[in-house]
Amino acid sequence: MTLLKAEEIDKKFGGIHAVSHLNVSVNEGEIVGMIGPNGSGKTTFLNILSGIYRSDSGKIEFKNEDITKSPLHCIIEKGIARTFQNLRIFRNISVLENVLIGRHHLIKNSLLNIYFNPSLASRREKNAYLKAMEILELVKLDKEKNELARNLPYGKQRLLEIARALMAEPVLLLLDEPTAGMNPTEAVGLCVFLKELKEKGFALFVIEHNMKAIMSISDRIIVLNAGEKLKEGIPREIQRDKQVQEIYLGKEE
Amino acid sequence: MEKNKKIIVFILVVALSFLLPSFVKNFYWLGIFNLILMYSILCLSLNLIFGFTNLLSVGHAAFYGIGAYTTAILLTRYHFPFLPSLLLSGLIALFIGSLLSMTTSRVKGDYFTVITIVFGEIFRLIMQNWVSFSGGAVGVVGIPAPQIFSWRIISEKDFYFLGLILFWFTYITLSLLVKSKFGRAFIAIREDELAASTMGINNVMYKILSFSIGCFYAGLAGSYYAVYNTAIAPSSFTLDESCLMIIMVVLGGIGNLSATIPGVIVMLVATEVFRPLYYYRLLLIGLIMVIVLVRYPYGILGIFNKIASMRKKYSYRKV
Repeated sequence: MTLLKAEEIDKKFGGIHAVSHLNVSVNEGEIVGMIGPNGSGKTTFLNILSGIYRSDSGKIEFKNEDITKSPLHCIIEKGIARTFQNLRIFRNISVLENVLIGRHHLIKNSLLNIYFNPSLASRREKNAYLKAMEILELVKLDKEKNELARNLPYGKQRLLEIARALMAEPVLLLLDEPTAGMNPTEAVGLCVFLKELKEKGFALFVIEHNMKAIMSISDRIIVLNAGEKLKEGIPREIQRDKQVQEIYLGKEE
Repeated sequence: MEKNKKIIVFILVVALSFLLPSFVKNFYWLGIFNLILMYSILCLSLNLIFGFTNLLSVGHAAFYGIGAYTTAILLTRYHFPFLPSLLLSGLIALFIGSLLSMTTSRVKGDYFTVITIVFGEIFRLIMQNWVSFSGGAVGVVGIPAPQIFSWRIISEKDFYFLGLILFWFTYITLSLLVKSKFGRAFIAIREDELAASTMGINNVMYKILSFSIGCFYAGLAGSYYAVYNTAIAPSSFTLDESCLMIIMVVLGGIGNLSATIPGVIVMLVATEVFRPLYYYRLLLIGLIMVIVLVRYPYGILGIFNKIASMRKKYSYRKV
């Protein structure tokens, strides 16, 4: 079943056509990869999907609901969570607090609750804590829960960002270059982890420059060039495609 | 276990703070304690706004003034009882604070700071010139001693208890707030606004919330000041006053409620101790500030953390 359907997405920055008439769909429990040279509009497209940018035209449907005009902070409630290319964790607070912020919209405490019904409020906080520990164990960060996020090594900070997104219990995860800055071993570990997530029923939309990683995990790959979709297909087709090789390696003389 | 220990320590501290006047009979020192309590309330609330949500407000004295003028006018002109005036002082400060933060919700960083400075100055100028309402430069004098039920608050000791109740009220309610999802949302906004909003935090709403809640407590402190001082004038709510509060917050430790109090104590006691030095006092305090901030950018909290981590290292070595 189609989970996310983006139709005719178009975005211009001044004279630059960053994304033009892009159609993308993601099915339930599927990993869709997106590749393309630098400046081809991958991150711009992801920003449009997650509500940071408004598209100039086009329509985004998620679970048959139009979310094109949803405000940024409402996107996560619909079930879309994301990570960032250049890491946006909350650096000066602990790992545990970082993931708890991911659960913000699911902790239903109001201001009145905190003061006049503290037992209910603390029960909800406790549930959130248990969930946080569960997810930290999943990404193997449970031992570092009280460490400041900025003290973690880079690879673990990436995992922390994914953990924070998972805390929101999304249906679709948007990952912007999750293996960037990781060493090969960490990257392989991350791929295994992403496949586990897929088996748990998450749908993933991944932008990646690491070809080995993206080819091994994706069910489908979309190639973007200069804001336009160049090719779409299973990894093996993409690898053999002449046009794709050209934009990455240049034309044969 | 750990939690129980913390609660016991907390109860002991509260009990000790109530017993303090039985040991200290000196009016001079009790007066300083009262100032410490009042500035603690102001700085705790400013820490919520500045330290947790990263809204550098240099107009906090204006909200403190709004609270003071509300109580002063209600008590002297309309003979209101004290408790409702106290509450109204807080609520009016909260209301004006929410109006200011709503209109400035799209303004960020330094520009927001400039607006708060301007707001503070406008408030002071209005109070100075609207003579029929605020008494002009003379202000409101002869504010009657407050009475809560049958408790008439007159002596320094009585004011100490009133201040202490307000202080613990502020401290406890604010600690509960910052430990909840609201506090985490404020911190998330401080750390990274974009990431916060992709995690489902409505930045605009939470900034307004943080700012207006902070103003509420400033209003309470202002109300306390009005009845304690029995006279108020616009010259008590200047830019200098706002800056002093920021200095105290920074000296204590940004984004940590308990660290605020040592910051207030150090600043106020230093001002008293160096009083004989007359003008050079400010020079010396400035020097101390510079040294502390260069060596310990996280304030007094940073010094404590450094000691704690040194102890940790030492205990590792022993193992």
